[in-house]
Amino acid sequence: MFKFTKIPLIAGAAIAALGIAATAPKSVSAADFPSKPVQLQVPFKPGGGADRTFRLFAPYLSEELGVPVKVTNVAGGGGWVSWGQVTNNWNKKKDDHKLAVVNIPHIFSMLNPAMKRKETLESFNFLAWHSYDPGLWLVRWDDERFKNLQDILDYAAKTPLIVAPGSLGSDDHIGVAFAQQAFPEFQTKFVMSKGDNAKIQLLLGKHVDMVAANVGYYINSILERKLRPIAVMHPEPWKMLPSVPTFTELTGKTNVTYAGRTIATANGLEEEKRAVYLGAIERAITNPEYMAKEVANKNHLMFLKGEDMWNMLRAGQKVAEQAAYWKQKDVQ
Amino acid sequence: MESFEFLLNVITLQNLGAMFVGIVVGLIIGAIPGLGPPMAIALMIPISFEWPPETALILMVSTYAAGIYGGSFTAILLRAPGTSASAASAIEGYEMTKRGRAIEAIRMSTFASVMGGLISGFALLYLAPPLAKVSLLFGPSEYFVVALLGLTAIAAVSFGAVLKGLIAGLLGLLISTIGVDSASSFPRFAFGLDGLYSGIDILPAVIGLFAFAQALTLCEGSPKSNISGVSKLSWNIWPKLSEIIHCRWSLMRGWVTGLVMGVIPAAGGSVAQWIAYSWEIQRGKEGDKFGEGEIKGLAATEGSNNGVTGTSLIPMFVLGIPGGISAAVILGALMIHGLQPGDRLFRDSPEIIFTVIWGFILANFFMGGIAATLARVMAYVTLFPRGLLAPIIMIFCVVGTFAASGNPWDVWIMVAMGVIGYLAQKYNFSPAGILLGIILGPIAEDGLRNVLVVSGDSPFTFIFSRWISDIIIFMIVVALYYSFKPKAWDKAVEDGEAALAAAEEKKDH
Repeated sequence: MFKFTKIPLIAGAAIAALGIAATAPKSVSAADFPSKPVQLQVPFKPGGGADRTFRLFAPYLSEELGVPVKVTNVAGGGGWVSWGQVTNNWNKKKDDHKLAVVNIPHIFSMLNPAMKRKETLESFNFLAWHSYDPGLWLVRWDDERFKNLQDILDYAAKTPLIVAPGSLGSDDHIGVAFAQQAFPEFQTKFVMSKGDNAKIQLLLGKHVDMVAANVGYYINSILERKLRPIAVMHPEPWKMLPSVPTFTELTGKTNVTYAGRTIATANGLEEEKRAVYLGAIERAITNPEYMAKEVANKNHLMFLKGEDMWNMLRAGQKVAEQAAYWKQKDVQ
Repeated sequence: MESFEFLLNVITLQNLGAMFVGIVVGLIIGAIPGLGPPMAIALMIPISFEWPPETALILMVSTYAAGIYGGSFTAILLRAPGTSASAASAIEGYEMTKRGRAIEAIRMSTFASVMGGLISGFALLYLAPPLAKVSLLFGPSEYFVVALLGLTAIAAVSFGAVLKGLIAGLLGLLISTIGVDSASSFPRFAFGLDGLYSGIDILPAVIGLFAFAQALTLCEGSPKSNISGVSKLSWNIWPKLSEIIHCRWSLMRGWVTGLVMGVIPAAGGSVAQWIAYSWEIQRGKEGDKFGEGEIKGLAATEGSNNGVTGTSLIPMFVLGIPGGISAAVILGALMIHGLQPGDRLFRDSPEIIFTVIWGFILANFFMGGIAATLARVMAYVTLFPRGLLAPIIMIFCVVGTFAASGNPWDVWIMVAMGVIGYLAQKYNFSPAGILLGIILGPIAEDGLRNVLVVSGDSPFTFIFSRWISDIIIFMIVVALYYSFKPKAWDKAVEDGEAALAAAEEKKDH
């Protein structure tokens, strides 16, 4: 008999609950969002620079959001396995508790026709810019041939300079491609490698003449007097290496390249939820404790949002288009 | 030795506690296919950043050492290697398990791994600066020839079926070309599929070719039978002196291979084991049963993969160049604790770095004891009925592969590799040959293409002008000689003797 008495009770409770849900305001208030753990999706495997930074960041973001922030790695396709999900599959309702890391200039591989990507910058719902690392050229500390950038340009006008620019389409490679556009007599041979560790090994082992890279990872090798910085690919001297000249001031030709990380969310996410994320990211990035951790990690934080962020993104795209590495005929 | 004073620094409650946690986590995570030391160590970074740096780093190096060894458990017991560094152990180790010799295999693995780790740890302590210089000598041409040396192992792992082994190796090389080509950024064999752009990763390939394929093979037998064919296991986990003496040269060769390969960035354990194994087969004597549970083969592979662990930290600590993914994650942890690798680390913070190195050595020592206890429990899985074991392995394969990259494509790649591995095993096309092609293909290709770039018109002159390349080329020639020549030669001698005997007989009549 108790079955009959219980069912209406449960049903009643369910109807009441539905009723409450139905009468609840459609827009979410900042107070009840997020309501469950937030997933922060990194497009590369554990252990890389992006993974390291966002694992450091997660506890501080979690503190601001009031819910746990879990870093997940969705690797593959040079980032596109993750970004394909973000742009094509993430739903503003179902995936509102997800954030994604988007790397610049890595996403501009979508401009390479061979990749057959349909996405554009507007396919992403960017929230904020997170970190910034300008391009840097380095040689061995004791390499007498190259005292400065002019020595390198003179040398490369006669003999091809053997450069390790990482992989094709990286910001490091784009910087070299720009130099070649500015100085057509600048001859290079590229030794491709995977990651900064391989580049340092190639340079220290005298297998290449120069490395094109970013500042952060190389500060230590510079302080160790193993590698010597030649030029920074930034509009003005970079604060981490104030005495190193910029490519632009040395040559009068613009060459600005960098590696950047941004955070995006599901397309069409409600403005209220967006604002919650954006506020939390801003406060977390400017948390002095987190900033100190990133100083140790040699990762330069740069918070940008709204129009500033979009200007930066569009400028980045323009640089990638101008470099158009996939059109280069001399690529072996 | 001044570094001795730092040994005592390790013996604090918190350091030993961290070491214990690292060993247990490493053993368990290493044993599960897909979950490996890099991921475990990455998860430890945020947990440990408030700790003193030496404690945090002891936690990580202990996890690393134990993880490489833990991978051998499942490789030996189930032919489901937990990490890519233990795939070679799956061959002889599992053959021993099938013959009811699981505990014997585990105790040889334990001895080889613990001693390999210890020797490698002492090399890290005393030989770090000179060995770091060696790692710099490896450029495009050296990588190319070292990959070729690794590929000669195909002859060894095809156990007589050389043609089929070569076909398997070529299939592996073909699979390794899938994905965006690094030198032209052109997608090869990707067919417009997102999941294929970054190519076939080693991890889903190892899990598929060995673990998942094994689960499929288990489905063939009676669901109630177990894999070891015995119903009781020996309890003696401590290595026997007679076994050690029997395998002494195999152990030595394994350790030496591991020590040397550890120093070469990006080669590491997953290559060392195969070189050690093929060396062992080439040195095989009459009566050795390679491919059918030869303990000497297991001693070599197990010695080599842990022999790598200590020396692979050398380029990381001395030059800031990590030799593998685990070392890269540890490097990240080092930097987050405000320590910079290089000469300054040894000069300015000897108390930290030497404490960590002693921690690594002690961790290898304790790992043996903890593992011995754990191994008895784990060995019982070989008594499980196949009907239970096969689905459990499949579940771990899927979960582990997904956990490693978060990429659902990798799961499908793993399953596809599993089917390939199953068919290869069934029809005697060495799955190990396929794996060797997948691991070494990119190293060989990138090396060769970079050689062609830097050498201009004369790649051969360039390769032969480098002395390390010459040594490796010599080793390739020797390896090929021992792989192919002796059998033909022995046969010729035998034929000659038989002919002589026949002639003698004729004369007598």
